[in-house]
Amino acid sequence: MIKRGFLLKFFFLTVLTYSLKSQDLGHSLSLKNKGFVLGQFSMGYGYYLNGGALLSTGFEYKMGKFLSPKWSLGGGIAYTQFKPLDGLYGISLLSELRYFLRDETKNWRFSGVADAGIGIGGSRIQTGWGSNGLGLRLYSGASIHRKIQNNMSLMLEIGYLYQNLSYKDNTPGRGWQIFQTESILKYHFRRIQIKTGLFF
Amino acid sequence: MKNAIFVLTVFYLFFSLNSCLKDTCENVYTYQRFDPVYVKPEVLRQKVAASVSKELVTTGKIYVYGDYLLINEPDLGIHVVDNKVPANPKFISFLKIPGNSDLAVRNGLLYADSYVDLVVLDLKNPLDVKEIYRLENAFPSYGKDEKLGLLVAYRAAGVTETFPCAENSGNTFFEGNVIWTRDNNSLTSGLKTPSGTVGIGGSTARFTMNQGLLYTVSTSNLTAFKLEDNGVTKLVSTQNVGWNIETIYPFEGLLLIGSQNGMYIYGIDNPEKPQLLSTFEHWRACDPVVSDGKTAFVTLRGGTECEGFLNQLDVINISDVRNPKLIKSYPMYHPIGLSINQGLLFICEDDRGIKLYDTKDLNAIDKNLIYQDKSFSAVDIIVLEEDKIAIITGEEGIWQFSYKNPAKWELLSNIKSKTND
Repeated sequence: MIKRGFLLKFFFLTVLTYSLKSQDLGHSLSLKNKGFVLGQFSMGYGYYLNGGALLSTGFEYKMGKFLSPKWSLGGGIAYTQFKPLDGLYGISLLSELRYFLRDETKNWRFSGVADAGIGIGGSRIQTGWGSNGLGLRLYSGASIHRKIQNNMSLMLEIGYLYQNLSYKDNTPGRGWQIFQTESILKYHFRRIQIKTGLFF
Repeated sequence: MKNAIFVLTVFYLFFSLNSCLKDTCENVYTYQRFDPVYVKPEVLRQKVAASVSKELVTTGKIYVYGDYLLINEPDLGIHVVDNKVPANPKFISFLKIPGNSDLAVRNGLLYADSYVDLVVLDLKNPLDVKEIYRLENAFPSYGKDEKLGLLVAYRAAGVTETFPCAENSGNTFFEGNVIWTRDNNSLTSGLKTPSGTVGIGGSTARFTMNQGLLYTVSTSNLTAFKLEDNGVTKLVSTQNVGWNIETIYPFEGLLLIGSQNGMYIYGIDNPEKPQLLSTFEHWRACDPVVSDGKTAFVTLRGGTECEGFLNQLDVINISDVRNPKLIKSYPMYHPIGLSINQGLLFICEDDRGIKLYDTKDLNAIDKNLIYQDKSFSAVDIIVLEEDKIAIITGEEGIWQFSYKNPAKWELLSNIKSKTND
């Protein structure tokens, strides 16, 4: 069952995506016809603890291509669920560098991507759990793109994600824990992610 | 093609270097661990004698006897302070008493706990205090180890451990007041035992005196000791009075016992064996209690060690001691020790200092705040009625105020504890 909080975050990110797109930042930065917005939907698989299939959503605003027509630099925000049973999630700000093997005129294109960012964690389920500072996010992947319209392509990507997040349990001592004062859970999440999405 | 190989190689290297897909998690767990304290009998039972005065490090309970102020240094002993001139108190000696936390004085004899023992000291010459009697094993111990000695207490220590999240916790688990540990040599259960012409003790005291008897409360027991003038002390009765007992306060033939579950009123028509007259129960909270005979004032405070969430003053009609009735509850910040004297109610409000109320209208005490000082933290108080002096203990030390003008107190002296320098 999808939680209301998840839907709210999804809605927020969607609105953010389209508002960024509507600003047409590519023109304001004089990068003619180079800016685009990426919406992506990803699945990952993790092991250990409450590992299993999980969903994440992320949206990126591409500042534009530069260096060469095959390179692009992007920035974005990603929301990732890591332990569904505990409701653990991370929200990260990231920047990514992508390299395309073929130019935009081709129907099939391939790209390699690496991103780095910082994130904060939280829990949708565990009351009293909050973030305990910023955690590092690193991602690398390879993608295949299929043009479906002018300026639009389908993307399938496989990648590897590492994210470090720590959660502080602020729940006051109760019952058998009356002498507990603090608990900080420091997670190192490692995921293979499969992403699909549209490039605009 | 070269580019494709380059991208795939980079991806493969990154992936292979992080080939483990296992999440890892560390729990950095900070908690209070209770370590056992063993004392060899020959060390515990060395004769207590006065030594040169020393600096106050941590403020414990206080006791006023004549011109002397006795300050407990928790687990270490007692400072003897000449307080003839409250504006200029002088430390004159230190009594090294291992495991001491409570004290009381009668006819020049100081009664103090020393872990499981009750020691009696001749206080007539404060510069030359001597141990004259020791009642061994007056208080229950937790056991004995042939090599390590008597298991006399558990000392709380702040511990931070890091371990994999898949493990439940560190070495210690807590369940109510029972502590469990994985270490076979460590504790199995329990909390510390009670550690205190008659002087005046504070409202958080666990020792009190009446009719030649010393009454002490432990976590669950009320014990009566018969006192002889030569110092010989005999245990005459001990009875279970509940759980989480905290304080004892005597007034006109009654013993008011504060616990985390309520207030117990004991009659002492038979002084050697107090009888339970009634109980006034409340939700879990720590609760020192004082009384002027007709009314009992109980401060309830919540927090980790007290469990519960109540922070209030309960005013209870005890004119019928067998049927105490709540008059009114007043919300407070975090009240601890208190004192009632000639209609003036003094309340220590932890880090919000001291408050003084007029109790002429028991239904409107909160509207009759006479004085408040938030500039220091206050834990317990002793009021010297004749001189109109309030002696207040707190985390930072001891304050002495003159309250001749109740609305405008005058600071006489401040003894700072070293811990808070």
